[in-house]
This record gives sequence, C-alpha cells and structure tokens, in this order.
Amino acid sequence: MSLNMKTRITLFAVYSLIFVTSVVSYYGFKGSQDSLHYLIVHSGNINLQVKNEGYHRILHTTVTADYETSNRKDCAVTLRYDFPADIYVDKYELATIAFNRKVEFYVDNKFIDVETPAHKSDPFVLYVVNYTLPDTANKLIETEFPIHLRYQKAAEDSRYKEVRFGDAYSDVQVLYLCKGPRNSNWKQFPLNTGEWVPASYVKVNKDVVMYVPVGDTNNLPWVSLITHGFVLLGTYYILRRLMATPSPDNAIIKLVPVKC
Amino acid sequence: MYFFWHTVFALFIRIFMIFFSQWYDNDDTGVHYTDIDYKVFTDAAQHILEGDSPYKRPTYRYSPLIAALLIPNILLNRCWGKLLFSSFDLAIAITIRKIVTKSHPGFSNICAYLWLYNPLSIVISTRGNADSISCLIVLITLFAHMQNYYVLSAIFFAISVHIRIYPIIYGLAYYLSIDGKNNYSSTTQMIFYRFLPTRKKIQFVIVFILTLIIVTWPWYYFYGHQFLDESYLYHARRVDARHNFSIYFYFNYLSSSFDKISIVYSLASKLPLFILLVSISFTFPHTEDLPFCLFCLSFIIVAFNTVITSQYFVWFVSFLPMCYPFLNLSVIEIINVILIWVVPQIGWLMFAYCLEFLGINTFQLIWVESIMFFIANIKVLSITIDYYKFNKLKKKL
Repeated sequence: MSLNMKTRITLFAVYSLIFVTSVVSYYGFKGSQDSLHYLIVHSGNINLQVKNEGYHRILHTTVTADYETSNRKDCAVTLRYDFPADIYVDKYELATIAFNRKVEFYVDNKFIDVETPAHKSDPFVLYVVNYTLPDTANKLIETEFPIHLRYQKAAEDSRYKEVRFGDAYSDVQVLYLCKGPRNSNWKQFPLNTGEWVPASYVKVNKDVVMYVPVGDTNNLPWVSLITHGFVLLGTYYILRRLMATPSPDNAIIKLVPVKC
Repeated sequence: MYFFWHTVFALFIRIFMIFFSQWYDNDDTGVHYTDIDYKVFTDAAQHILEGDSPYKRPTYRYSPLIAALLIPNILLNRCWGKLLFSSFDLAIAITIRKIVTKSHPGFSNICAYLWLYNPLSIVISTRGNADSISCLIVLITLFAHMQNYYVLSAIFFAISVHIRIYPIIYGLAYYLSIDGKNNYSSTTQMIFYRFLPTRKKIQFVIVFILTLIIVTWPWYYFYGHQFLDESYLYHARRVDARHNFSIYFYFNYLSSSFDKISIVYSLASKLPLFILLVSISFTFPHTEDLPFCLFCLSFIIVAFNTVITSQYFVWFVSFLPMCYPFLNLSVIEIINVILIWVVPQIGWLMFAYCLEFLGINTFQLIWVESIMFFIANIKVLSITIDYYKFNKLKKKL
C-alpha cells in the first residue's frame, strides 16, 4: 500500500516539527546547564609568602577574592607563575607533592636544569591547577610548594644579589575555567590555549624579596694562587713520603737501638 | 658462627636506620636523611618501567643497571633499594674477611667488623647511595687478582668500571702487579720490567676490554650516545661551581663567572693528580700491597678531585679494613688520625649549612675549611704511608 502525496507532505511536516522542537529544546537545556556553572571574581589579592632561608624555600600563595560561584566544585582555578632564571623548581619534587595533595603542576619547559647557575639558565612558567575551591569564604586558592634559588654569577665588591618576585603583574596570574556539559573534562583545555579566563582584577599584594650570597671576583687572583699553591705543596709532600723510605734495608739503619 | 651473628646484628642496625630514615623524612622541611640520588635512581627506574630511557631523569649519571636494579622500588616498596645497598654492604664485609684471612687469619673478623660497624658505611648505604655496589665489585676484583685469577679479575674489573668509572684508576696497579718479581737492582729496571707486557698481562687487558664492551654495548644500543655522555664523559668534563668539599670549589665558582677556562689550564690542573696516581701505582706494585695501593689511589682521586661529596669517602674507606693489619698504629694514634680527618669536615659542614640553609655569605669560610680539609687529607695519607712501611719493616725483622 502506498501513501498519496498529501499524506506524505503531512508526515514530512510533522517529522520536521518534531525534529526542530527536539533540537531547540536540547540546546535550550544545554544553555541553561552552561549558565548553572559560573565564577565571577569582582576583586582580589594574591598574597605571596616565602618560608625558610637560603637556597631552598617554600613559596606559599593565598588568593583572597570577592567572588560568586555556582558551586565550589564546578570551577577550577589555576595560578600561573612566571619565574625568573634565578629560581627553579624540581619537577620530580613537585610530582611527589601533587601525588600527596591532589593539585597538579605543569611546567612549560620540557627540561629544567637544576644544576646551572642563574646566568646560564632560562626563565620558565609554572601552572598550579586546583580543581576544587577551598571551603573558606573569600579564599579562592591556597597552595605552597618548594622553590630553589640558583647560584648567582660572582660579581665585583658584592656579597648578595637581590632576587625579586611578584613585582610585575605577569609574575603571578589567576586563571579559571568552569565546568559545563560541553567542557566537563578540564584536561581537554590546555592551560595556554586561551580557554582559561584570567581573573584580571586579582593582583599581587606584595613582592617577595630574597637575597642570594654572591662570590667576590676581586678574590680570584689570590684564591687561584693559594688553591694551586696548596695543591702543588700537597703533591710534593706525598711524593716525598712515597720516596722517603724506599726499602726495608735502608730503614733498618734508621732504627734506634733499644737501651737496656 | 660468631661472625654470622655479627652480620645479622649489622643487618638489623641497617634495617633500623632505614625505618628511621622513613620516619625522619616524613617532615618535608629541613635537611633530609635520604640522599637526593636515591630519588633520582627511583625516578630513573620509573622511566625504565615505562619503557623510556633512565636518562630522561635529569642528573641521572650512572649505568642503567642501577636504575634497573631499583625497579622493585616502584613495584614493591620504596625501601627496596636501601635494603639492596645494605645487603651489598654486608657482602663487602664478607669479602674483606676473605681477603684478610689469606694474609692475617687472626685479624679477619676484626677487619670485617670495622666495615660492619663503620658509621660511614651504615649511613651511606641506608641513605640510599649506590656506591656499595661498585665497592663490592672492586673488592671481588681485588680478591680474584690476589688469588692470581687474572681472567676473573679482569671480568670484575670491567664490570666495576662499567658501573662507576672511577675504578679505572686501579688499572695500572693491577697491570703492574701481574708477573712481578721483588728483586730489581734499580728503579729504572723495576719500571721497565713491571711495564713490559707478558702473556698474562696481555690476557688481562684483552679480557678487560672485551668484557667492558660486552657489558656496555647493550646499554649503548638501547640508550645511544646519551648513555655514554651521562655515565662516563660527563665525569671527565665535570666542573661543579656549587659548594663542595673540594679545595678547587671556590676557584671554580669564581672562574665560572668568566666566559671560558682554557683547555691548557684544565689539563695542567689534572697533572698533579696524574703524577700521584702513577707514582703510587709504581711504589706499591706487589700483589700483597694491592689493598694499600688501591686505598692510596682512591684517597688521591678523592682528595685532588674538583668535586668532593661525602659519598666518595666510601671509595677509600672500603679498603681501610684490609690495610689495618699492616698499619702499626696504636689506638690513640688511630683516634688522632680520625680527628685530623673529621674536625675540618665538621667546620666545613657548619659553614655550608649557614650558606645553604640560612643564606649567609660564607663562601670564603667554606673555602678556608676546604683548604684545611685538603691539608688534613694530605697529612692522613702521609701518616698511613709512613706507618705502612714501618710495619713492613717490623714483619721482616
């Protein structure tokens, strides 16, 4: 049995109507879901604090902000640190911390040389990703991780080099991304792609200033003289000891007779 | 049987120290007990497990064999490596006992205890330092060589050089001790005949080279030039500008601020070390002197090195128990020698702590302590050389 043209047109119109209303209602629902997940940061501060002294420090960062969010678990917040060449992080050390504390660290450089001095090193960018906002009101993120200072180039008449961090806006930045049906997996969006929204009103409150000991190049001539002088004297002394008593026969003559 | 229980007790001490390290290192801040290299070995083992090169881990500069041995660190427990190194430590004591039994049977147990209860060996192995592996292979080489099993000694010598490149400095001493006589009329004659190739000497050299190729080539096949570069070539060109026990440290740091150091200087600075290594190899060429000869060679390579860390001390300390029966030192003299060696280290560590953990500029003070430590090393070595000879004289009488 075949349908006539009028019936076919009617059925086509009904199916089209069902299809169009389905699509419209789906995207309508999706849009409403997207709008459920949001983070609005009105203003805020990044507070940097360095613990410990010397070459091995802990960088503690607290971001306090006036913000609104749909749900604390819906939005991820990332701290972007633009570190100068004077500072390095050990990626393997951070991996251990990430394992214990459930934060994630990403470094833009494939390789961070932990041995080179500052003047032979490059700056790098570190991202610290936190997928859950803390439960404390006004506290957007709080994290700490170890940083290390590099050896500085020796200089004339200088004892310390000042290493300053956080003095430019770009040194530390806050970025965020909220979950939605389309972007439910945050890891689909790498940190440098632009999907993450910078929280422009959140700025560093106070710089971090560290002092690194520096060798004095004025010392080089006499350091060289004394170092090599001692090495030569030491070599001569050992050679003399090696040659001093060549054979047991000679040594017998040197024995002091026992007096009774 | 008595020795067995001492070995068991020494094992328990090491196990206790491993537990202590786990507890102490729980606190992330401050100085850790576990050596940083232990983390490096474990990370390198993780890379091998994932099918990658262990050299993807920056600062891994050892044979891949060590990382492969530490794979159970990932699969079983993080303490596996420390237990392994501690068991190598106990095997060293057994080898020392075997070597000393041949010359001084009455001293064999005491010499083994000197290693079993040596704080340095306990700390080094339980901190997770792999040098007990190379030390054991070096001592097995020595034992085989003193038994005149030259093929066996050449095989173990090659394995020891493969694991850590430093035992290569023993090559000349091993070579000179083969087919040697004790009655040469002059020094020139002694040098000539000691150096003259014989069938056994050629056999030793060929077996050494072939074994070295056999144990090294597979790793080269897997990991390419990076393996050679990181494991061996790096150590030849290494100039570490950061603070360490070496007398050269401050000079290296200051001069690293300038563009380049001339190759003539690099070679000239190695000349004293080279002269001393050759002189010692020719001064103690007899087989029975080999433990003392290797002790002196290790001492020199450490004392004159451009980089010294405390793990290097185990290289020469491992020979000390075998030299002990030959050293005619009283207990007071031994304590004096230990103090001469330890006190400058305490001074150095104090100023290094101020620099590294308090950020105080103590570069010059560290350098002064490095010089004091160098002088102490020279004094300690000269005392042992003097008393070693004196004891030989006593034995003749």
